[in-house]
Amino acid sequence: MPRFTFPEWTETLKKWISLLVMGAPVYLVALVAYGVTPEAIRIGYQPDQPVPYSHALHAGELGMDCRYCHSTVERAAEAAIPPASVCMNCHATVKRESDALQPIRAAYAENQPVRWTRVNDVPDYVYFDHSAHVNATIGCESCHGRVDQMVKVFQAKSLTMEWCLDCHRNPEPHLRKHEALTAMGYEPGKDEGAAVLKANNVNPPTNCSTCHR
Amino acid sequence: MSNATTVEGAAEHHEEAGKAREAFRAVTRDVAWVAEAPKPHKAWLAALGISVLMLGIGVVSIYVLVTTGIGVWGNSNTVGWAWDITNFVWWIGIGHAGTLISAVLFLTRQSWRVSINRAAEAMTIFAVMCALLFPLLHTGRPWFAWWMLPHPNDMGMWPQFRSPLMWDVFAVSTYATTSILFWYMGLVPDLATFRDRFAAKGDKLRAIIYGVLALGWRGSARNWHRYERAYLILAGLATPLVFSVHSVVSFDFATSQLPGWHTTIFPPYFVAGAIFSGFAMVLTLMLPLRHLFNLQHIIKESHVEAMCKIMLATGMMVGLAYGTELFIAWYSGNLYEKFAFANRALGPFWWSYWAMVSCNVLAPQFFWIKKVRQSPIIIFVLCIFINIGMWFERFVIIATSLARSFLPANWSYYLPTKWDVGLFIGTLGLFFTLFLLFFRYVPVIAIAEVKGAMPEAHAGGSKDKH
Amino acid sequence: MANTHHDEHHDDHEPVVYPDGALYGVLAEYDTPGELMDAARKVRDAGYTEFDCYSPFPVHGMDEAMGIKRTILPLIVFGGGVTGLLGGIFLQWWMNAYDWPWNIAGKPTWSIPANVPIAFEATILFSVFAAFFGMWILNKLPQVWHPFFRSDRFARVTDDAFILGIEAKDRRFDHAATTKLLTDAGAIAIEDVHYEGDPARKTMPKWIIAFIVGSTAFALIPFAIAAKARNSHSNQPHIHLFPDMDFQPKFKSDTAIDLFADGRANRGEITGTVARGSLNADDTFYRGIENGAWTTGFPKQLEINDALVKRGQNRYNIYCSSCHGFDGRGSGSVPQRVQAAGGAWQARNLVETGGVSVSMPNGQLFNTITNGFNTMMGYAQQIPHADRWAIVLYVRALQRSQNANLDDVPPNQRGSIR
Repeated sequence: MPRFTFPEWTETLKKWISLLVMGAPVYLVALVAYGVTPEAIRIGYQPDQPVPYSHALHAGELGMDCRYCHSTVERAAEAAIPPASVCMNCHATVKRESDALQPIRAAYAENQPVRWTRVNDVPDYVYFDHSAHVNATIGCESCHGRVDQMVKVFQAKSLTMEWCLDCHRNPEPHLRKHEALTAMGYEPGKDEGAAVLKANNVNPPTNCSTCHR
Repeated sequence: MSNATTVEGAAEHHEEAGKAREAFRAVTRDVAWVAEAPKPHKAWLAALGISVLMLGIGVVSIYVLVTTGIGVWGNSNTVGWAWDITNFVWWIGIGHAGTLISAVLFLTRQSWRVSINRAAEAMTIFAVMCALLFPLLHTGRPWFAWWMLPHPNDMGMWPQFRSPLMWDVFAVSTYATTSILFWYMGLVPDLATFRDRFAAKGDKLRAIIYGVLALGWRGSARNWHRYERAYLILAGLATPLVFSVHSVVSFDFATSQLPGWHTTIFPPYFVAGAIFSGFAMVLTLMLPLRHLFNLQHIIKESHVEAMCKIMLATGMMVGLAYGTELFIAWYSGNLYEKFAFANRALGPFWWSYWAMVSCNVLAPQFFWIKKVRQSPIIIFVLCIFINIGMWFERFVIIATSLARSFLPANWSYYLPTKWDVGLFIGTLGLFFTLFLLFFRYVPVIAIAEVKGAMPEAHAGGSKDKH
Repeated sequence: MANTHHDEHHDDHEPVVYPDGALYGVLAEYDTPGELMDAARKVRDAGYTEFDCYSPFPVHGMDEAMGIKRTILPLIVFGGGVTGLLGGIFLQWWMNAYDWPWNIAGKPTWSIPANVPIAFEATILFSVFAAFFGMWILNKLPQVWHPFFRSDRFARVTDDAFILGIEAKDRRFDHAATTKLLTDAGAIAIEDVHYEGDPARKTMPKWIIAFIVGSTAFALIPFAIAAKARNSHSNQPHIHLFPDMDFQPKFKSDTAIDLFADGRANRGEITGTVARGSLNADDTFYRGIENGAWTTGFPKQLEINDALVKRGQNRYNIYCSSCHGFDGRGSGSVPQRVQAAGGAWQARNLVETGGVSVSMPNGQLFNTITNGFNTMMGYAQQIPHADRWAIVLYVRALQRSQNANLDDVPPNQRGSIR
């Protein structure tokens, strides 16, 4: 048997391997940048809910204010998920035979909570206060997207730390006048953010313990 | 490939040249037989078995640590750095001899380095791997270690480059990378030797593996020219690097405010200690293996003696640093400094302080005696003492300072748990496992460099000079 | 030495023997490094350029003998070092001082001393990369195949042989003359080396090509998955690879807990207790009752002013307008939709002259908001007390404005209405 030597085609293979060696980092960076980002992983989370409640109907078509249901948003850290009784404000009269509303009626009758699935969630080590943001007149839309167009609510923004910091470092583009707080598709006028910033003395902190307490 | 002809008449000094070639062949043979032996040595197998067992203990300890949390260690709020960082610094220190031997001794033209530089470089790489495990695991979430590398991320944060811990990340990873590249570059001509030997024996698998790793090296003079230049440059780069790495490690402590850490002599003190412990570890490994694999004619007695002298010198540097610390503590008039050092020698950790002094300062004094420097057994025992002493040095610096910090209300004592000890045993197992595998499968001595340093290698004896 | 390559497909037959290919070059072995060097000098003096010496270790003096020019490697390393230094400094400046000036204990965001260690390490790292990779690239390595490797003699270069090789492509190459030159230079052996003749050794095997094509196709799958994830919604939450403390054993508002029968983490008031500050003893403010009857005024806690009316308007628009309409005439979006669907439901007109809403005392209006009226449910849990009073105030203003006549408009503005 002859002594082993590498065949000449290894020179062709070498070109392929060098292509691989040079291409692999590009491929990996591209894959991470495209596939392992909030746009791919977080945004678009649209859990199933016990009741097919449509924000597009209530907030969009009927034009109900967000705060009608999420009534604590200006006063508390949590924007309350409305209890069944709030639904019953209307649905005691409207669509009282609807099958879809059966869980609401049952919950109301038995004083049991409806187990909604949370859509927009931050990790438990993040302290977040809705009232602080809403009272600085950050519109609902800034974080929740066009809820008035969502038949079934989904996560519209990444809710990553970078995304939080983007606004904390430069809140001006996200501020709007108080009357437009819950407006959807609202375009703040020129200098509106700057004026609100000045008037409300908006000065969001960026140190660690602002959110990680 | 026909027409192989032997030219007659052009070989008056054929016999002499044949002897020289036989000497070169002998070097190749002496190194290659370890890898070529069909069955490994029994002692090697036994040692590997023990090492893998120790490695297993380490794997279990890591599993328990990662699944439970840092609480399984003996660390507390007061002594937040203890066993783990002690081991980190200890391993990093051991990792210094390799680069020192390959780079500093190369630049200073110490030709005896060629007998041990390969093994010492391998030791460096394995020691750095062991060292890196400790800070990695001490973060509690090793899967987020990549956060320390600057990269765009969805937290919108960059690393904080003014922290000495970040400097450490850069220094140690640069050191690891440089050591690996330097080591590998030195290996290439010897891997080519292995390639050709296995190919000649018809061992196709090994010929392919060593052949790919040898990158097609064919000993061309044009290649050697750039190779030697690159080797010199790498040695020149590694020399300041080796001094910077342990200096940066010492900054982890020196830039803090803690009495006992906040000291300007730390960088040279740490570097001297690193070289000291590195050489001790080189000898701890090489003395038994040299005996076992009959490498006495390559790793000569004079080489071992030179290393003993280096240990004697660096050991006294370390002793000087201990003395300086005590003197400055007194001379500074700083209450906290004074207390910190009095506490070291006489406080609850007195045993560790005196273990350190006796192992590091007193033990190497035996190297003054020539008989000691020529007795492998005594050297081996002294090196073990030095390894232990240098471990205690880091423990003394880290644990005693933290256990008695500014606020007496925070004072506490430190005792390791079994998982602390288990992880340390595991790194020893990892180190020896890798080293034993290296010894069996990789040219353990720099064949080409040894040949180049032989008198027969010099081209001066040519018959007609131009 | 004839090449006898075993073709796998012809195992049962005679091995196919291919004739050697073209001549690649001539090898000459020399006895000692010194003789090799002398030979190299002669070959160089004879004007050859495509030749090289091969030895187990670098032979000192060979560079000069062969006329090898000093390598540009140091320049490449210098370039790498400068790149590392500037890159390291730029990295730290851009990340910690420019892109996000990070305030650490009030120290300057940019100062040289604190940034020296990393700049230094980056300098070393890039220099090392430049030296290591630069050297291999300049040496045109890796190249595991070489015609000379076919020679058994050449395989001893990594052991004990000193060989000079001249390639046939050298423009001065002449087989007889070159061989003579090498012999005269003291070669102890001369050998011709040819390319291989077996074509199978020259073309890459099909399975490797198939593997490259296959793995390239496979590499696109993750992108397809990512594209789908980006462009669609999912009812599954994102994977928490390392949950860490994303989910802590604590309970926030509106979360669930199994401890209580109703599963609510939010606990209501305990029966028979009053929370501090929640006695709500003031009948007028909290219930709209004054001296046992509905109050007709407003509680003394409230200052009746423009701001309160505005607040009332704001709250009315949120909570009341959906049914009662922005003008209070009962034509909000909800009844409109019900009627459009054929339903017969009508919200009360709050501003109708002579209607019950107009004649209600303030206290009763307040109570209606709190506890509801007919089919209207109470809004106590959605609207705090003070806001309810503000709404009452605004409803009164609506009733006034919706039934206003020209006399209510200030005289100087009447012209602008008509």
